[in-house]
Amino acid sequence: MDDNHHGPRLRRMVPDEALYCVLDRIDDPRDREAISLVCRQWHRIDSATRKHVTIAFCYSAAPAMLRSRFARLESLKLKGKPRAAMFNLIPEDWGGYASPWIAELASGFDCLKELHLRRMVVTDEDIGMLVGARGHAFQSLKLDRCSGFSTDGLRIIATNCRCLRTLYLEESTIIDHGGEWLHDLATNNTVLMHLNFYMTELRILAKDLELLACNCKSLISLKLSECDLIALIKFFKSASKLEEFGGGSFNVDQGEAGAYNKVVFPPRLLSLSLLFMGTNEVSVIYPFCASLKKLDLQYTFLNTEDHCQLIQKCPNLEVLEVRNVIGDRGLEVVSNTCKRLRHLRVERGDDDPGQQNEQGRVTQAGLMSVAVGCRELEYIAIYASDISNAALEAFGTFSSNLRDFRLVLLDSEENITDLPLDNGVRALLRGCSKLGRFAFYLRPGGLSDVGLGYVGEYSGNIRYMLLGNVGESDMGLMRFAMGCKKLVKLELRSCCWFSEHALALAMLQLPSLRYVWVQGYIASLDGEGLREMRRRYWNIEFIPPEIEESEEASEEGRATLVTQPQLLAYYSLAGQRMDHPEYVVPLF
Amino acid sequence: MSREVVELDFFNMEKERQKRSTIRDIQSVISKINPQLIRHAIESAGAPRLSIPMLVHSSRFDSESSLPGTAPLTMFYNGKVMVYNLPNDKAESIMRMAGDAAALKCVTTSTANSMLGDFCGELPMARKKSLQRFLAKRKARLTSSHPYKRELEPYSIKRE
Repeated sequence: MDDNHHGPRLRRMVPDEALYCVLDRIDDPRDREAISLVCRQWHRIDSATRKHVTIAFCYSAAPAMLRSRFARLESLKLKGKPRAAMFNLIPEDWGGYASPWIAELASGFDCLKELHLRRMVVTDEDIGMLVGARGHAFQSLKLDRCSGFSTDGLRIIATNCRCLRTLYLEESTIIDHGGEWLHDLATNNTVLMHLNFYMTELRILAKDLELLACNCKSLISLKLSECDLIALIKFFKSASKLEEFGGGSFNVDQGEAGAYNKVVFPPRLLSLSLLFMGTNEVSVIYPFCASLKKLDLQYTFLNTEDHCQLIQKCPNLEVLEVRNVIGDRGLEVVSNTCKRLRHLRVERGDDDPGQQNEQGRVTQAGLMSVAVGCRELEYIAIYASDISNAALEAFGTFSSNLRDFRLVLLDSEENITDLPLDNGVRALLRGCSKLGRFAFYLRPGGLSDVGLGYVGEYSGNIRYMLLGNVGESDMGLMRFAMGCKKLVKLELRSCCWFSEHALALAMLQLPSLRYVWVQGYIASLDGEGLREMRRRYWNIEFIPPEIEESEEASEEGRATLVTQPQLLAYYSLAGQRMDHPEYVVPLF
Repeated sequence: MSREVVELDFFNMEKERQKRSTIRDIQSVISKINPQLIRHAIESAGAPRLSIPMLVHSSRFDSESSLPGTAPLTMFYNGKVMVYNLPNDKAESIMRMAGDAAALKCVTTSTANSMLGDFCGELPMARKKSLQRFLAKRKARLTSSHPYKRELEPYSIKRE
């Protein structure tokens, strides 16, 4: 709709000022996308008023494009390496460098005050450049699962970003040159609200934390690296407003009971993640677990019975994260007690039977009880040892609020009760109409070609999928590709029956697909079959398999595969990327 | 156990068997395919249960029945199409040999068990980094011969 072609009376029916006022109140990214497509005037005003942009994959656009369209941006989220990096499947030098983005951000974004980088490589120089340009205005900085920088970079942030309310470094790999950065933060900042260096290996001094608590009276969330709780007693006394705490650890000599009874947690605590907490220590949190809304037990030493005892005392839980040691018995307690539960994650524990007790398995029984008992569930991620169609059907029936469903079927058990899961997955997808994200990682035979077709047919509004060991042949993939109308991002793993040809066709067929990552398929040595999906703006990156011939292997007619091939393909407005390592082969 | 092999002509390959297909041809055919038609074809042929995956191009819409324990093996080579009825194990070993002879660059068909298809079975389930680190720490604590000393001093010393 080009408004220039209308007569003067029809031009600018809605004046700019009015549009500014209205659009200023609209934040939803999909609404904004629709707004920007109405006409040039609306596009222009959207560009001028949009506050936040998420670039889901940093190579999909060039930094200069961001500046030319959204120069007045206040908040940016950028993601780099594929998700598989969290599972050690992507080498460190694969890419995802923040430098070009930071160079652009430092030279012309006058309103930027929040930056979130996830799975990217960031150097101390990058931090220096960013802080030099925007440090005075930064309110939130998140270097989330990033690497490439050191505590020197943190010192730069701490001394120059005095308005920082949020500093988030969770799971980043940071080179530790000392704990002075925390001291700098404590002495330069008075408005900090959220500090997170959880799951980093940084060493700090407890007295710097005490100083921080003194100077930053608004601190409501602290998640730190391992630090003995005994050392934090004084900190807890000062940080009286703390609502979220994670990372304190228990280090108990054998036989020393009651050592942690002197630890008094802040009174308003709602969210807790304690490391290495064992059976003898868990009573320390009993006084306040009735008010807990979030509990993370993934990194504790609790057994099934401990989980049952503890969760029974937590009726207000909304978020619970555990390992599968919780067992079906523990999930039943969850089902009976945690009626407000919105988010449940059951992670994969130790496979070594000596380390887990026998009850530490989650099966369809536990899943069923959660589906029936926790009707408010919006997110569920489970590593299960056994599964049935009925359990999936239960979610379809009872979990109408589910937005995110992830199931991984562990490979420890020889026999699974009820496979394939065709009917169950169909019922699940039909019943959970709000589902936007879906992961289904099974074993061969877990889902037939028909079942994979159901996943396509009933995908509804799902935009992200991770599928593993699904289908039986290319036919299944073709059926799948005929559905999935809204699928934007796809990850496929271990489907060793899909050919390159079928993969190429499927990618061409899926109408909304912008990003696909595949590992485990019938790969050729040079990715030739993948060239069939060449098209404009579509970058194809192939990591060829590395094969090592050994003498004994060649006797048997085999060779050893050193590196599994990988495929990554995505739409990009920025052309082929130039910063890839040698082993990544772009296919033209 | 008899198996049915279903072949579907996605790309009108019957007509174009002598020609090499181009990307544009494939894409134009795909864009013209009525999804309903494909769905109907798949449904009317039943659900094939093949233990060996095959992408098939050339086709008839009817399924071929076979003797128990055998299945038709379709081979495309050098512009010719040959169909054999073989016992399953023979068929598998032939396909494996074809895959190992990696010099064969078949544009129109992918062989079922190419050398790399065999490796695929060695794709172990990956573990999250954070949990891997935690489980390693736990193992170290439980197998450590010295009692773990609680540190009363603030954490400032970096252990090597």
